[in-house]
Amino acid sequence: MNRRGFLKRTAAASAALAAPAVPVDAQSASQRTAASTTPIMSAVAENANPPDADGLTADRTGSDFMVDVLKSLGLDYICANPGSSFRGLHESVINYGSNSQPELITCCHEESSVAMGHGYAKVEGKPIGVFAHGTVGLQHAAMAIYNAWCDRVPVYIMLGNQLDATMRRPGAEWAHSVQDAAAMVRDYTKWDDTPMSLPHFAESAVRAYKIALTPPMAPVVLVVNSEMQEHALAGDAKIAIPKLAVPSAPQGDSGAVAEAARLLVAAEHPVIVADRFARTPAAMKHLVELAETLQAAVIDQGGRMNFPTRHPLNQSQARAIADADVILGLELSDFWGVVNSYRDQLNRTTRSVTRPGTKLISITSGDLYVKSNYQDFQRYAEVDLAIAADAEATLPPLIEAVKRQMTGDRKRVFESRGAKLAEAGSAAFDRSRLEASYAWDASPVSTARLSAEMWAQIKNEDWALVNGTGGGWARRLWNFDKPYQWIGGSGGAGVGYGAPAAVGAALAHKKHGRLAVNIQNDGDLMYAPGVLWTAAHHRIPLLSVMHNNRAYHQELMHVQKMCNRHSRGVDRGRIGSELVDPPIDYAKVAQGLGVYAEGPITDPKDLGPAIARAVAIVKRGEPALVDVVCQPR
Amino acid sequence: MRYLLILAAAVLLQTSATPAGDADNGKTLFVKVGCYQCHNYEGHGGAAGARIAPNPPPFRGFVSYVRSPKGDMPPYREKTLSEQDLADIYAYLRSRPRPPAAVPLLTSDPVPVRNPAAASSADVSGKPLIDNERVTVWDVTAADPNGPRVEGDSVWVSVSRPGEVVVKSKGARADIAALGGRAIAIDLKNASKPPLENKSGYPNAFPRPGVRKVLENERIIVWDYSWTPNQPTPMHFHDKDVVVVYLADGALKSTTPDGQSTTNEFSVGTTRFNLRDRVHTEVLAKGSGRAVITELK
Repeated sequence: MNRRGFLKRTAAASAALAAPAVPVDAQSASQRTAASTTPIMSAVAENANPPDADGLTADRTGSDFMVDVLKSLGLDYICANPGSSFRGLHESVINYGSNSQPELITCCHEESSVAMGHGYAKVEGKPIGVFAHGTVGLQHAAMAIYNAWCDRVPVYIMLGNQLDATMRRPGAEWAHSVQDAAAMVRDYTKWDDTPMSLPHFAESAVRAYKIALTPPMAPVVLVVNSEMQEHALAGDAKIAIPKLAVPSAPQGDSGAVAEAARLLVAAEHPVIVADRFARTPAAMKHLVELAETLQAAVIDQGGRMNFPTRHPLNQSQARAIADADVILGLELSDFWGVVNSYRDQLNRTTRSVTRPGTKLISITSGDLYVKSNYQDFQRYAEVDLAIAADAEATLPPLIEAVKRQMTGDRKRVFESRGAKLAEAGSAAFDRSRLEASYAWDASPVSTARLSAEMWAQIKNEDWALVNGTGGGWARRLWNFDKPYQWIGGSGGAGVGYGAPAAVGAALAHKKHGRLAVNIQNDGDLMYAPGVLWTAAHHRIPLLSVMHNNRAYHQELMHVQKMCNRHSRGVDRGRIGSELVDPPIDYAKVAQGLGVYAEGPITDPKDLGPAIARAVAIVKRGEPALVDVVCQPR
Repeated sequence: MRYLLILAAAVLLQTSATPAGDADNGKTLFVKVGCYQCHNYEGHGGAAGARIAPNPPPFRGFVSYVRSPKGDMPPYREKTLSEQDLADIYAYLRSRPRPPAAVPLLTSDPVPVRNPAAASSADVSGKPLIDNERVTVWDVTAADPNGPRVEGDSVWVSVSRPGEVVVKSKGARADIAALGGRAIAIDLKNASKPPLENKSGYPNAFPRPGVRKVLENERIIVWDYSWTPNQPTPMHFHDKDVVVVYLADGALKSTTPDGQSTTNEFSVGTTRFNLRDRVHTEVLAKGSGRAVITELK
């Protein structure tokens, strides 16, 4: 059916509902009277022939076609907390679509739905869908959408909404309807549309997918009219689904790439800094090749799994920036912050941490797209060469350009540099292991001990860390060498991301048979702990080990800073930020949600065996949680 | 946000002795005034604050920094933390236990490869250098007591002590420390191939003038050979697949009978698998050249 046909059918349906042509008030009054006096089933009705079913049921609806479109996009899952505004879509997914590709994942909060999509997309490299009310569901989802936006991650969101006021059911449906549903998240989504027909839906659905996956990637929103979902569709109606072609990621201009190569080859101390660099599994290989070709230091900021943690050129724990004469930034969310330090005292001050004359080269798709209202773009960085392009796509030509410009003399310099970096990297690793041994037997358990005990239990498995770093210790002590072993953080630093993103990432790892591991902060889990039930219900294997410091600790430190600044009671800084009295028993919380759980563990000697038992549960295909009372940081 | 407490700078300011302090009261204060928030309960530091126990800097420098921090640390005035309070906290920090002498959980993992030449050839991630139908080859250091998982008979070519080779059977590991700390482990798979019949008109690659046969058994022959500058090897035929472990830094130019040449660079520890059925001569093009060559029967 084309758009005209759909509108014609809609108009006809509206006319039929309006007939007979009597005053609306009178009709309504008579209907109300009849409704209040007629029994549910009268004797006349019981003895009459069955009414004609036409008009009451339909073999095929608009939402069936929508599911056809979603299947064409290859969406594996739909995460949703159920809502009447998308009941048509809901039913079509589970019945018409056989609840397979996409499969409906039952969520207990829309923030969990979106954050699951956030974690999933970073593992699989493609989005899953989210259904939500255009009003109350989206309001719940907004925080998670903002995180995904800041993290440049695609999430495919469909909002139910009843646009036609004359079609709304009295009561809640009015409270759940809105003129412009996507307006409240438009500042932090990449594109949205409100299709007015099924052909329009098909085009917009494919367009939304394409836009979401074009770097810089971001969430997209489709507002799906409830009436259009539920409208009957003629059995022979044929509506085309447009062909999807996801654009190739933009490569840097060849002249600029050659100039970047010239600067890098000529540099005495080049440093490569990577943040949200790795989009695909090939990215790490490219970065290793570039670093080894140049024998250059690499600092992995951890926005993605960019560089092996134990590679000799990994200088993330060393101080390479101060010596750098050329810095190559790959998809940095904050280049200014790489080359400047900031002092958060009463008088806020900054200073450069680089040598005078250090050349800065930026490759980021962030230069191709930015919005105004929300300020996640950070301070303006004064770079010398800005290449507006996708960094991963630009690395192969950059590597070739570097190789073309290398001479024998430079290569010998590189080898000498590599030797020094390897020594520095090894020394930093040794320092990390020494530092980790302090407070080894302390209770509460040190975050280094927590990380080391976890590593001992998982290192011989095909593991992937999906959330948390245990105060940074996992990144310092574990051997990350596979592209899927880390996915970065929340993006927007919106607390509540961790637990649902971990479950979403674990869902993605499930089909690969990997052991998904989550270092779960306590404050984060309390935002929407219901996602543990989702993991249990859908048999999503995930090992969660709690970094339970019984506080919103980042904020506690901020309040402490204010206490000190004003010198009027530094001993009350904990009020309002601690999660004590009573302490939360996360094992019981998890058990109540159907998850195997142990804890709280306070003696570090108990930790290894508890994690081993939990790993056994997870390897059986279920989630498990170990609550560990930890040192603060 | 990171509260970087760079107390070392304050060490120079130390001028007087440390006053007596009450460690128990210091422990209470350490929590009460919020020190633990960044430095953790044991003063061992973490993502937000430096380690300040069990060996804090000299007391005067300590006090100076707490009163007027150079970084992000919030300042503590006399009004909120007296000199005696700081002495008590100082006593608490000094009372904290030193770390255990050895922590197996922390020391059992391999350290990153220190040899930069190996950085581009050896895989530091625990994956083999070479894995094909005939061999799996690993770069192993003494700091990696748990790996690799050698499954069959194996040849262990020392990188640290050129010329030393050990043969092990059925999954047994060599003592890497005894081999000098670094070795290339060649795990032999059960894919025996009889030598190719030599119809090339040239002699076989081995033996050749100047080569030393290290050992031979039913599965392998191991040779130790050094190339001499400007002295090409005789043109020769490889009738067996070989694993070559280089023990020097240099480059070899290989020339086939029809005059085609290629130059391959190598450094200490570079390891290559070369298929049989090749005829060529080799000459050292750069640096020095020595290798242990394992012929696979």
